[in-house]
Amino acid sequence: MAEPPLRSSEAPLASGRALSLPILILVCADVRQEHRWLDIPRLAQWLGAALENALLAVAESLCQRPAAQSEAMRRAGAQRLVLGLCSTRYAQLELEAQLRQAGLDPFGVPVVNLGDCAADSPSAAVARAELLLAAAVARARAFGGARPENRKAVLLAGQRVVGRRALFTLPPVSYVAAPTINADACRVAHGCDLCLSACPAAALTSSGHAIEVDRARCQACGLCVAACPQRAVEFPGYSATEIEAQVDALLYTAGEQRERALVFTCRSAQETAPGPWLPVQVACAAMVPVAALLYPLAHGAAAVALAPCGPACAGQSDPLIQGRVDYCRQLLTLLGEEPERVRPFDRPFDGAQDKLRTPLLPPGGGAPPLHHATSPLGQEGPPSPARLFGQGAAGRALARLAALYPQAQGVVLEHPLSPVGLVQINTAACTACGSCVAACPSGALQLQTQDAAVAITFDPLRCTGCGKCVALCPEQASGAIHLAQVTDLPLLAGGPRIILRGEQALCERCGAPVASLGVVERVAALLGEDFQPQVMGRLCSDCRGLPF
Amino acid sequence: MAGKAHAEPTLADLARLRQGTYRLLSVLLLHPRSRTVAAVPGAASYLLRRRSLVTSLAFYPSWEGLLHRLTSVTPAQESILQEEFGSLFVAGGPGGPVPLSEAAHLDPTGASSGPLLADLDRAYAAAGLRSSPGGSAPDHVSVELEFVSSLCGQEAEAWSRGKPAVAADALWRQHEFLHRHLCCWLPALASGVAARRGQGYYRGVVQLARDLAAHDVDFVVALAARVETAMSVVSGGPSLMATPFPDEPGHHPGSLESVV
Repeated sequence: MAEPPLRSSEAPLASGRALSLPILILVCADVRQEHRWLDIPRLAQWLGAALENALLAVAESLCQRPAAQSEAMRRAGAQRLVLGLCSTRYAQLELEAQLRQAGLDPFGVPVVNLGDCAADSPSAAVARAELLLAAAVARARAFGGARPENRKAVLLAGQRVVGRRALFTLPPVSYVAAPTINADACRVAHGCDLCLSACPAAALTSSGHAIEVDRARCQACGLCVAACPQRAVEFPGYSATEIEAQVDALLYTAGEQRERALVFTCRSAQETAPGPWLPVQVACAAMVPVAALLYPLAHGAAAVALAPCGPACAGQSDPLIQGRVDYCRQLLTLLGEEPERVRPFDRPFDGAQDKLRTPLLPPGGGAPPLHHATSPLGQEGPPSPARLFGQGAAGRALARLAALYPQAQGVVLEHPLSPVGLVQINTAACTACGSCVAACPSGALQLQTQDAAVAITFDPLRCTGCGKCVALCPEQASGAIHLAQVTDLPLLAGGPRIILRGEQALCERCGAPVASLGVVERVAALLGEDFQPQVMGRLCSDCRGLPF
Repeated sequence: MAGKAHAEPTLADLARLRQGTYRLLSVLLLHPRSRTVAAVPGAASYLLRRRSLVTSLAFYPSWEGLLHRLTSVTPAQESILQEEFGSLFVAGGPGGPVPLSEAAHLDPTGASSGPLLADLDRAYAAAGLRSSPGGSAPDHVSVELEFVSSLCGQEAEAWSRGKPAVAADALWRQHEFLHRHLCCWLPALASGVAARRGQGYYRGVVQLARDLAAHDVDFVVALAARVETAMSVVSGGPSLMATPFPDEPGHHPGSLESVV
């Protein structure tokens, strides 16, 4: 019987660990011919020491003849897989089919282009490969599976038909991830429709109690993932959890590459990331929120960049991308930091490579080097798992950045794309009805009651500045509530605070809350002589129907 | 020439395979009887022999997994299947039975079942079909799956006769029906079964039905759009479509319908 094409690395890990390992790192054997610097035994040894339950194996012609690997993959019994390929030119469709036959979901199998790892020295190149593979392992482990509804079939030949025979035969079929909404987490029933507003393709619709995704319209750009404060959008392959896991691994995995800079790259981008830049693939550059740009800086990255989308990307939201980058650069300037730590890229792509090749700047403004000051690279993991998406992500990243810079005490930045907002209440007009609290999808506004006292608290760390509180305020015309797109770093450091104090009427019969006094007065003013204070203001809805 | 034509997966072959799969699923979700239980392994084997048509498609893992299990079903298991069917879909456990009809999932109060059933009848009538009198309700999962199977049959016939426009029409009908009906409630059915029976036989059946419907709703529309684009090229002037059509693959003798 012929030897299976999959074989263990030349530097096998501890014996007896194969076949039961939950994650397999499969490297194309051709990489040794194409990239002679790649020291696979060293790579295997390092990964074995750095990662738990991982096995590196080498497969012959994995890039070009993946059909030969299906049985081997199945026999390896890996529950998760990471592929290390020679370049971006590989038999993608065939590989995906083999993965499915091996019981693996291609959405959950990150591909590392080892050709990207070439560096000035073989040692640096291997160190880079180690880091990229370790981060891909973290991403693969964070993959939470996909529903059938998350796969959208597309014909790779498009609408083009060459010849009558081709029309009657099955064209190559590929699959793109399509988002679905976790109904348990979604707050559409409370009036939240931020994903609808964010979708550039109008692919999302609301029935009032559920969000529907029109897969025919969906461009799979992931903007809904960035917009949802509840992290209710499931987007396998590009989910918040997967991206966060990869970012943390790139920042916190021990390794020889000390200087680390992250570049978020659209899946359609053809550019490679040279030098110290470590790529994090996203569905579209526009799905990268401000928090994802600030978090790496607050956790030791020397710089962050947003690579431009490729021409095939359906997102194409340049103003949004530029606006977010502009916000970050303004903030860094106010902090006395070098704005080049967040790098934008202009279209066309010419020059993007040059920008990435520009040496990373030394720490500016007298601030300590970020990655030495804040990131114990390799010594311990992150203080808590990365949070790049959802409510509170931007606030926490900003608060951590603020703690690093003395200048933060006076930083107040007003910007239309500020990821946090500042809610203020006009106590003369507000009735303390609580509509803003119910409308707030991020939980930044909270209603607290104790006996007859009522208070509304505002947590600036959780506010995303979405404006739902203003939109749903019944006293909006009176200016009862105001939202400013402002990043107020001293305020962020202060934590939650009470922004309104009031009183509520209690039922004279059972003691239950009736309504705030402001609401009772407002109703009285509206009803005039028809207002019945002995009923409406003194009894709760349960007791009103009972005989006195 | 002929050999090459048969080596390539044709859309007619694929439509027949999908027809057979929907038909098999339809039968499996009826109360198990001796005749059908006895026919299941043969039908599953028939489909499995044509697996090369679908190995690249996303539903392949659940398709292959279920069919493999079905090949080993024996007549002696009839009572086991009946027991599982009864406990899941008729009597139910602590959570009650899992309904097999669309209206029960989408409209539990029954307030708007009328328009739903009327919509189904319209869809069936538009394809030249109607529900059998005295048979299952029009919104029963078996009837809906059988209808899609029938549309796949029409599509396969059209491909075989070299009539892509007719095939495209059948594809659009499939999309419309899957989008408006099966895709709306099969996830709920699958969740209900999974919640009550961890790894049972019917879990695989409804899971494949869900996978297949979710896959095909996009797949068929992409195929139909491809055909229409090609046809518009033909009507717009000289085209490669005018080149001779290769040998037709022909019908498979002993199709699934006669087996099941």
